[in-house]
Amino acid sequence: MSDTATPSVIERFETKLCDEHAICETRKERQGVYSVPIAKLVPLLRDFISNDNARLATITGIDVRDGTELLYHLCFDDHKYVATLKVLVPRTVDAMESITPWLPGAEFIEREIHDLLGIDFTGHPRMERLILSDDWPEGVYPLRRGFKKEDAQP
Amino acid sequence: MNWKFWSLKKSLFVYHVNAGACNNCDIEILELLTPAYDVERFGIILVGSPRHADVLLVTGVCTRQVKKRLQELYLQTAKPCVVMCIGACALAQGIFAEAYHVGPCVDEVIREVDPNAIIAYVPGCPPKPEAMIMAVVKTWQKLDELAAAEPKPVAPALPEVAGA
Amino acid sequence: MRSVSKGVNGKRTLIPVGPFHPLQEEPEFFQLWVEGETVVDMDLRISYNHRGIEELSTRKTFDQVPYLVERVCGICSSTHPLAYIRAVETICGCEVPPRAKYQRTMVTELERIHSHLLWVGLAGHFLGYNTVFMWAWKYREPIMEILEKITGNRCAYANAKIGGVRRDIPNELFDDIVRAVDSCWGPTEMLTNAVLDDPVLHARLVDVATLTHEDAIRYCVTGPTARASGVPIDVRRDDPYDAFDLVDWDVITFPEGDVMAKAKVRLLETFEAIKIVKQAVRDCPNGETDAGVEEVPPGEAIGHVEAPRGETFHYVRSDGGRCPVRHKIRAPSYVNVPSFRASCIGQHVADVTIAMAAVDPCYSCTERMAVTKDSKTGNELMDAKELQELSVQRTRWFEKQLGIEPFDKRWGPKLQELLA
Ligand code: SF4
Repeated sequence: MSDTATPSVIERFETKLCDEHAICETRKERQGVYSVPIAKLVPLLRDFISNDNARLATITGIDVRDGTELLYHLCFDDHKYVATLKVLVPRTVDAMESITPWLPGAEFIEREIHDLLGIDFTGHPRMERLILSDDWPEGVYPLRRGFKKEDAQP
Repeated sequence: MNWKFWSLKKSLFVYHVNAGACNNCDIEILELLTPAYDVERFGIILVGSPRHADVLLVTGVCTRQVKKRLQELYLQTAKPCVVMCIGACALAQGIFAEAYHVGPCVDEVIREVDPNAIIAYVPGCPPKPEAMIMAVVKTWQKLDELAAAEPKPVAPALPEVAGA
Repeated sequence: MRSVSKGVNGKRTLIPVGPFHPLQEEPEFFQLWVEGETVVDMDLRISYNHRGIEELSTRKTFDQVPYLVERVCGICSSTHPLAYIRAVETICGCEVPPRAKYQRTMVTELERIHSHLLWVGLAGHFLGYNTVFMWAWKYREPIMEILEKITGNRCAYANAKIGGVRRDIPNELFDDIVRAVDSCWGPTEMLTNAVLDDPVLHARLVDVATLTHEDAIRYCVTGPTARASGVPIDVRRDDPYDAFDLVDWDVITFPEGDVMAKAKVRLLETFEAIKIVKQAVRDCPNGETDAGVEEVPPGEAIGHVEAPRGETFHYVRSDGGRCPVRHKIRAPSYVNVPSFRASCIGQHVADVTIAMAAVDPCYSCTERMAVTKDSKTGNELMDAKELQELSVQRTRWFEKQLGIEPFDKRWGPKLQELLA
């Protein structure tokens, strides 16, 4: 059992990403964060998941100044590596292509982000409320900046 | 003893409501029912429907989504029914007090539908099973006091039957 | 005879399950659409347990967060803090002292033992096999007691902190740990044999709610749910943390994907966990237990560990301040639960209970037929004759499973005789 991630795999993976104009932001021993142009994300995910045995761990949404960052965490379990692909969804768009149609495991994850951060996933089969209560007001997103508990009174 | 409270003296039927707990309190409750603590020897048993319950064991913070359902469950129980708030969460929301998705405290929620509800509190995060047994004993003592304070029911006068 | 999977006359019934299940644990609301006795579709509504921990955690300091995330799920209360701590330690780039590593390993594995035994007990309970329930819960009690002894609490241990462990486990207690896990070995063996030998359990578990290898990958499931479908992933091996690369253990996988395989994975993993604890106790070196982390620099990192139910995944972003800017928590059940849609559809309603329990999502349910009228036409969906027909079908199915001759063949002539 080697302790570090298998280098050749990371190299291959990084060349693939570089071809698509991705930038490596941080690289730690067994994990890395890459920022990816938004149009290239879904094809890349598809490629990694179907060809490289990657597993989607989860998607993190973060509210930043210019919009919402979506972080797709991919586990390369065979190679002891976790790659995080980061895209920025501009506030004016607030929508992203859904990956649920070909990866049903992402269904709940996307619905959660829709609830908490207000990102619309286009092409998602059931973009309904999942984890907020029935009396939660529409259009209030608890993980956005400046959210106050008082805003969410029923 | 008052017949109303007499029904709560023996063989308590408990119904367990998880109102947004972290499971610690819940597994400790189950621990009570299994051989290690075995409260079944006192006749305390978990039932599958609130309509059979003498006691509602409420754990957790009472999230916004649960609030209405909790009131509904309480209304379904046969009265008098003791509500036992188990754990710091059910007492006063504990560590989750400031989170955005929690509703009012459990006792407030219950009092909203029944201002005279009998509510017992078991502190701890999670309370130890011993503490829960202790709480039941204390509740029994309290019920005794309540029963003593309540006026004895007077048998209604039989109506006069004509010609008798 | 009509095949069981067809349902009676193609009529659909909606069975709401929850949100409050008669047994225990978390409220969740399932809607099962059934045709006859076969589940054809399902939907799930969660929220009952949503408290808003991710947001709350950005208002706590880095040192307070472990106490909060410990209360995400009580049964995984050592793995959530550990995942968070791994993420923060990666941001800091600090090295954890070996003694702390071994001690964390002990606590997580002790937790795994008690969690798996808990599952076996509950699974028995869902099947109406209460003896197993009582036994399993009895045998996990020594583990709870030893956890209380070494960490100070039966459930929320709070043993790990950033850079080490909060409280050193003194060497004098090591013998007690070994004694406690040893006392579990025999009972677990007995439970394993009981589960593997029992013909009734075979009938209820084998080939029930099968999650195929492909579906396991498509639904991104983790932990025992994945390993029982032949997907050999285990964070303890795939991204070793603490002392897991220093001790000797095996990843248990089974290819079948049915509930039986999940039970087998969990039972055999209990033995592995016992082995790991004993090795960790044997090898635990003396020395420091705290790296003394003073502050967390800006940065972002993920941390994942193997909880009893699967991979617990945390992401932390820091801007150099006192609190995390973003803390994402993904519990294993969140990815395991949606796989119901793959495993439960096409199953019998009666099997759904155990199929759901098989994932160990921390809740149970019972079947209650609530709607017997079609919402559109208002027709009665089932009459007594249909229900009887269904139960006959079910009995036939069992007979076939168990290899017993059909009831008519065994008793038919005798009955005729008696009636004559
Ligand atoms: S009181 Fe503590 S143990 Fe009980 S549900 Fe709340 S956080 Fe969990």
